[in-house]
Amino acid sequence: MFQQAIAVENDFGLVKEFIQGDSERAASAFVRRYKSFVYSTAFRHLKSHDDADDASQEVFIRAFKNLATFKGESSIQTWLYRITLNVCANMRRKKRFTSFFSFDNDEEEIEIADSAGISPHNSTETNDFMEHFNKMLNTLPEKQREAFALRYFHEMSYEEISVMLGTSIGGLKANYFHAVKKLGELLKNSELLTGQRHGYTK
Amino acid sequence: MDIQNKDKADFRRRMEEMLADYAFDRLPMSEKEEFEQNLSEFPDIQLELLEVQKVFSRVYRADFDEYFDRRTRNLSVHVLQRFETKAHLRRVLSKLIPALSIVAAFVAFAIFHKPSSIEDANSPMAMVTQSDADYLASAASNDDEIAAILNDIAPMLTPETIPALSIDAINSIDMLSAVSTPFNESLLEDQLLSVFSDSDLNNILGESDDDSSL
Repeated sequence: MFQQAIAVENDFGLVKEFIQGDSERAASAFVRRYKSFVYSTAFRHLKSHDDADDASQEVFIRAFKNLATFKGESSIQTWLYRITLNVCANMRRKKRFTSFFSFDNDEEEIEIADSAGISPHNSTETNDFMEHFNKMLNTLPEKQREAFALRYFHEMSYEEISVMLGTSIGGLKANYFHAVKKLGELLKNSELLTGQRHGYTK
Repeated sequence: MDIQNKDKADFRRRMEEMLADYAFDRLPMSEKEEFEQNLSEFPDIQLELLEVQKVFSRVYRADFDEYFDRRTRNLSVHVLQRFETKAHLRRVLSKLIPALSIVAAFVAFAIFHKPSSIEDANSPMAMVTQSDADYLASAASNDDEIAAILNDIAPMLTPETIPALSIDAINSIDMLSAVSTPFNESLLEDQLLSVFSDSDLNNILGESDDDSSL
């Protein structure tokens, strides 16, 4: 609770610093603080690292442009989440429009984009596992997937997630439980959990 | 908590909702105690809990952070570069737009507003001045010059401009027609007849001696 309060204070401090001084330091700190949250959200919705990267950049640029109008009625994370969903929806629409006039296979493009994003340097065991886990996560219905990611990875409260997703807390808890149950089944059958992660330390 | 008095299905749902948070140690203390107290009532949830704890013991939040940190290593640099580029573009546009507006205003003015020389040419007072009339009279002896002058003044002779011709100008036109060769005489005649009827033309030329202007 105390840590959360400090984080919120820091967040608003950064926003204030950015608005007042338009400082590069505040902007950079703001991006660093939320980049994983924005990128992972975009990736869950776009299912491509290249698109998620583009979307994340766009989200932060929009956020910087509108930080002065941010009233603080919701948390910055909730605000960024909404911007991310809007940007992803726009990108999907644009992609559908361009693919309508294109003869290329979309699935193939996504695979190429994904493999191109992994450099030899980061092609580690963790990387393989997370790639695999993200694929499993993407098999879940959207509400379950979002409930799981926001609760499990981003450690957000049910109250905050329910505002983000527009669902009741009861429905959210049910979604979270079903997501955990389904992912548990998938992980149990997963090859990556049957010995490949031996020796991995947390 | 007495389960007997509760709807079993509702309570089961509540236990299921608490399961994940209990497994990942995110349940508040009060709910944690409630869950532990009643877990023995639901053997299948007990099994489910063990399964979840076992399987998810290998899904670390640290992995997730590490994975996405690596993916977003250069994101802040890219964002700041893109933001700076956009800001620079906005600054350039903010300077360019007023300049372009001024150019556009000039272009629009040039397109929609007739140059003053054309306005002056069509205005009766400026059409044939005293000096023009003198010039017409002095040039009347030269056929080539007369032809050139007639070519120049012919488009200016309209029903709107003729009445304002000075008497000297009328005299000059009259004189031109008197001294002109067949070539320029027919040119002048054609132009005047295209504007006036025969009788009107006779009236203009006939009355020019009496009136100071038409």
